[in-house]
Amino acid sequence: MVVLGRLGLGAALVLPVAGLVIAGMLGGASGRARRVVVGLGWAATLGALGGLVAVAAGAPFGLLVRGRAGSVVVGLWADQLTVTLLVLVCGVGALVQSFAVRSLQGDPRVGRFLAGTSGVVAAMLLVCSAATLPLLVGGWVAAGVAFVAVLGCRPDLPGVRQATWRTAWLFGLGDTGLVVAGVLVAWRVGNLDLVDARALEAAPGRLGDLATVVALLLVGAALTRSAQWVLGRWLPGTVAAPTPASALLHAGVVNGGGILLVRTGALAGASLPAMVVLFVAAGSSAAVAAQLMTRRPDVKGSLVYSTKSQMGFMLAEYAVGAWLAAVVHLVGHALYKAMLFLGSGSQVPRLGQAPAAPRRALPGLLRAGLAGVSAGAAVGVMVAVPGALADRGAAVLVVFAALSAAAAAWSWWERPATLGWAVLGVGGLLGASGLYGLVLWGLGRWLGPALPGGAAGLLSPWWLLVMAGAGLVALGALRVPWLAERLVPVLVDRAAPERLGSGLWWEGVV
Amino acid sequence: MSPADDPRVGRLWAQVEEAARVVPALWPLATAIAVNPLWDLRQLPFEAAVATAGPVLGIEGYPAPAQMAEAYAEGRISADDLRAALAAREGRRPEAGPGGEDVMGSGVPGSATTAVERLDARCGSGLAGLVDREVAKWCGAYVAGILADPDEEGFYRSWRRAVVHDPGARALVGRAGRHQLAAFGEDPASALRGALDHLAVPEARWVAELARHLGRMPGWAGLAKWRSLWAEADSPGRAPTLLDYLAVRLCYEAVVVTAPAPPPRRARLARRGIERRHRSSAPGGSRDGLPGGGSWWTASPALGDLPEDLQRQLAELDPPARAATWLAAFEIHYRDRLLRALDAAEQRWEHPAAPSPAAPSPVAQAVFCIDVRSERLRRHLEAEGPYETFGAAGFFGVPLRYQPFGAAETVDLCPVLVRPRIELGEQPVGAASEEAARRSLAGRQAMAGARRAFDGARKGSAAQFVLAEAGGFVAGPLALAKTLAPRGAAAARGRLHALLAPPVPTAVTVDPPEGTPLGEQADEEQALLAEATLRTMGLVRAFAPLVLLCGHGSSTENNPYASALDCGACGGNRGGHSARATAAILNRPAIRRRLAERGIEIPVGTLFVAGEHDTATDRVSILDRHLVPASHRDQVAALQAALDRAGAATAAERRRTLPGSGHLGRIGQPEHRAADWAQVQPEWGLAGNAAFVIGPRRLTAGVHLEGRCFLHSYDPAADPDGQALESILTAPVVVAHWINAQYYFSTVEPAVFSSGDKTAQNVVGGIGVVRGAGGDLGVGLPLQSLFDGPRPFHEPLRLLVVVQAPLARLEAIIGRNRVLQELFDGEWLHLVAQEDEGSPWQVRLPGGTWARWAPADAPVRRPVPVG
Repeated sequence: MVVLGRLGLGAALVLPVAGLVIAGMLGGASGRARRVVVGLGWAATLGALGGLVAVAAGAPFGLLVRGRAGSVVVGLWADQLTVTLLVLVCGVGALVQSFAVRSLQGDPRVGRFLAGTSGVVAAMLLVCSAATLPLLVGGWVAAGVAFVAVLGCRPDLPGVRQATWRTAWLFGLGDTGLVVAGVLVAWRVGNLDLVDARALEAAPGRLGDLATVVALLLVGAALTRSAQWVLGRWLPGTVAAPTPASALLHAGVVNGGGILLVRTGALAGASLPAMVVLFVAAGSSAAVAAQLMTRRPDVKGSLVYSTKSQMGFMLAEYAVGAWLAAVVHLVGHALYKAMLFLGSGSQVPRLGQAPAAPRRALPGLLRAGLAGVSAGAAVGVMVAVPGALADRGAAVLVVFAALSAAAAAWSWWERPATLGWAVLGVGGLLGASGLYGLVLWGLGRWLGPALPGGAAGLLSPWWLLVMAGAGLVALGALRVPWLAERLVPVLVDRAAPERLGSGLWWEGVV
Repeated sequence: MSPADDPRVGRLWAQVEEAARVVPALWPLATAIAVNPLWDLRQLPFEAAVATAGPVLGIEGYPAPAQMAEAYAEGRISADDLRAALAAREGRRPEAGPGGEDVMGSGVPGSATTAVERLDARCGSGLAGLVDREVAKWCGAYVAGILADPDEEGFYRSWRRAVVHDPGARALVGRAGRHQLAAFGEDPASALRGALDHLAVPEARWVAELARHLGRMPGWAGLAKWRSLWAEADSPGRAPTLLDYLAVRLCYEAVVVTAPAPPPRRARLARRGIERRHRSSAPGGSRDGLPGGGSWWTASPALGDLPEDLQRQLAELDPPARAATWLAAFEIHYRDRLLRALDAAEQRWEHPAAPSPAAPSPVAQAVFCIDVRSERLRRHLEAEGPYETFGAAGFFGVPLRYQPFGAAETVDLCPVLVRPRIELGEQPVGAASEEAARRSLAGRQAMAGARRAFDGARKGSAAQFVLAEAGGFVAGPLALAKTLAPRGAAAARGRLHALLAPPVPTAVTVDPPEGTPLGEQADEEQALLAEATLRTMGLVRAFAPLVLLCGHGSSTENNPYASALDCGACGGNRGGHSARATAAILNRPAIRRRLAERGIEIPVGTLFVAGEHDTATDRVSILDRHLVPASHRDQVAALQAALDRAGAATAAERRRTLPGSGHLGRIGQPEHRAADWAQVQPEWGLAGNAAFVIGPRRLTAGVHLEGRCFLHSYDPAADPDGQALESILTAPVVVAHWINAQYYFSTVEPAVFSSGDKTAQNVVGGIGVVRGAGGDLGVGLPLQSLFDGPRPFHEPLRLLVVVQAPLARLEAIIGRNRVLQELFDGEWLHLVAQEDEGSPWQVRLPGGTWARWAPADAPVRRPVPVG
């Protein structure tokens, strides 16, 4: 089984590289070359699945090169966390490539696109499963470079040049920080083994006074790649690229921040200043982006700010130590966003298709009340049930789930339905909640052992609720006419794309 | 709409309308229809209209030199064609030349610039692009309902309330300037006047100035034009009006030009130099980076093997004339090829050995839309057996306002140039219909409610987080299925829909209340329409026992431009409902009685049935099977089987032309494409359209027309007074001309008249698309509808109308109709005709003279005038 798993793990890495080479050399000119590259992508996904089966059936394993003292020099590691991420990355990559060979069928540059996406997948695989820090850093930088290449595939489309330059510049900034952090760690600690939990936990101590600097640099890199705060200014422009590139970005590349932090564990997580910075930056980004999301008239622009907001939420979860919740969110959101981006052409209502139905309006106060009651009930349950909060804040998600359910419920209520359908709706919502709980529980059981623990949790998970509260207050404030009149133009302006410039690199920065 | 009673304001409105002639009206995506972008310049000859619109929109308006060179290399243009085109040009030089008349009434069109553009040109700044950004930002916010307009006061007033708090405006014109923006007036008309006065534009130059303002962003301006001049007052969706749009734009310009001191950001931008975002107004500046590139001002087709004399003659022409000559040669080549094919077919009929087409009386007659995509299907259906086919406009001459069963809104099923004349709906029929209908409706409402609930949670600022995460575990497998097994996924979704909302058998309610004056009137109206329909296509006798009326629509997935593939004669909607309504009307005994009184005797045994041709899959389904009486069931089943076989043959023929069908394998086949959300080219739509043939089917039967011809049936013998011909020429031909001109201009000017690469399109407010992140709305068709990669698939040719009818009758009709005069004399369309079967073809020259057709490569080179 382990042999099979090793084969799968190796295949997951080697096949996308082969795809990169084939697509790069043949330029995707022939249909057969394109088919082969896509096939390799799916084969890599199967390899990753094989690794997952092997881990599930047996134990974590690695493809490791060990030095004389038995320490790991370089290698790949497969445990529950890394194989889950491998399957996600390979799967999203293959999905995007399958989509792209059809949607870009007339494009002479489709070969470059396939090569770039294969490169992103291969590099992200290193980030997900590298056994040592230098390899992870190398993979991270390669993923950035490969993604910039994907983005710049179609310089003829309006806005692509500017977006590419801006992304390259900001990625360069974040990546430089990460490389510096890697050098500092290598200098003080040596070739840090990411698999060895004890080594990871001891690392901040061995870094001494540099520990905070390293943690902040890691957080900076994560904030850049996950498009947070000013470091995320590269993201809105990327919608200029073809839809499959956006799907790969929103379902794969932006997750890098979360993956990096979870994999380096205590290196960043043990530093209180770094976690405070992360929480404030990500939390405020999430709240602001949630407002900007509804101030964009276009489908893709709205999805961009949604991603920004979701990534902020994910990083904030990480900052309060809810690592499991962060990983689950990362996986779920990736799939959700891939679907929405690829299907972004379906947003045109056709006349005569909407069914005639009466409507009723739910007063705003009642809506706020409904949200408050359901959230309050969730909080009450968590406080009352002993041990509910024990699992590092994953339970805070229940509050957010209650808010989602409340929003869905009131939207449902606004369309009067027959009793049968109403019962079915409520039942469906309950069933979905149950299923969601089950998935969470299952993923928790599965991922739990592989998550580096220990140092996590310098901030209380309750801070997440403060963030949600702040978001709701902002929403309420925008219902006050006097404030709305002044704030909505600001939001509209901030959300709107900038004037496209001449594509000079420095134009993207200032 | 019409502003206050102030005469100056009234004059302003007239000038706005005049200025709006240069931008095409843009219909919302839900009913995206093909439009001749220069329709309002049709009073000018084609070349002059292009020359007029050129500087305002930044277009050249002719196929690019590279494309012409390619056509020449492939033999689609020959030296003979060029000679013929030059000769034709020579023959009519004195009358029409480009730029002859100054249509815009005031100012020289070529010098049209806005005040800020002039400022930019002086200082080397890029402020005009910043103004565009602000205007586009607010237009987008307005159509998507983000900019609050609680009292329905319109775009200008809502903008005026918001802009004083807008940081974007502050960055552009400073804090004081921001308040000045709102100080030009309460209402759009006075603000527009105020801004024009502020800019010190003399009234004589208003039209030219306003035209350029509209031309800077033809998309948003086009939407405003649609709202002001085409839309019904109650049509859904928000859009600025022309006055609103221009008022907002001019307010920005007025303040930007006179802002006292540029704020820091503005100064920085001004220093930064040339703005590239927008096409320079110089012709040819628009073609960078788009397929079909090259400019007639900078290049000519590089052709080594073109004969010396031709090279010299072409070089003598100025660039637009050279371009027009190449276009004319391209058209001559196609004309000669088509007429030769028709003549060859005619000779075959006359050949004694050939089977006479009228030999067996047809078991069924089928009426298809004139759409070019019907041509293939008709040819294959006729090959299946004794089926006779007809062509008519896809709304079957019945301009409907239709309410589908259980739908919230009505749909106008007629060309946009026609107003709906009857309102119809549908009712469930059959046993237990009420219960089934209630159940189906509840199911549909529940599905809509679920979608709403999802959207509600998706947009909630705190509710979205868990939704995304939980939704992802459902969305992931779904995306996988849709990508790997598109047909399976679509079938599963269809089954789920059928389970939740079981389809209900319905019938169109065509029976008016009996015995009342109102009912009489409705009957009379229906009979009138029915008679006109039958007479127009020449189906007035020898009815087969079964007559199929077949509309068409296209099933595609994830396609913002889906309605551009549907029936243009049904206003960009599917044509099935029109066919059902018309069949129901023609089956009514009361109508048949009235028709008989008018001399159209429909036998009792004849049944009209409706069908719909899915042009993405080439499946034809006969609709309302539950209404077919037992007497006709076998015949309907046989017809359905023949249609299935004909559809499969049509799909097989079409498959070869579809891009990627070679390397995509199974998933590149038509029926997969229709269900595939990754597919940006599900079908070619009307690409390739080149001719419109009016005449009996005998004229074209058996000729492989490559899906490039609109075919309208016409029987010259049955129409002595020319009424039918007149209605064909003034309605279907004009619709086809719009389609043809849309494809033409989208192909030759993709930067302005196409909405860009589909994969980078971004739907805005459900009504339009932008390219990438934002900016102007896309106008026209997406590139993927016209180009196969970098190569144009559509051959940009002006429509060739081929008629079999007496020339005198044709001339009389053209003489009666101003629009036809403009179109034919201005060479927006070409016309050839033959008096009757077998007589020689005559080419109509501008001005109404006719010349006997001789192919360009025939020994006699010049057409010999006969009239």
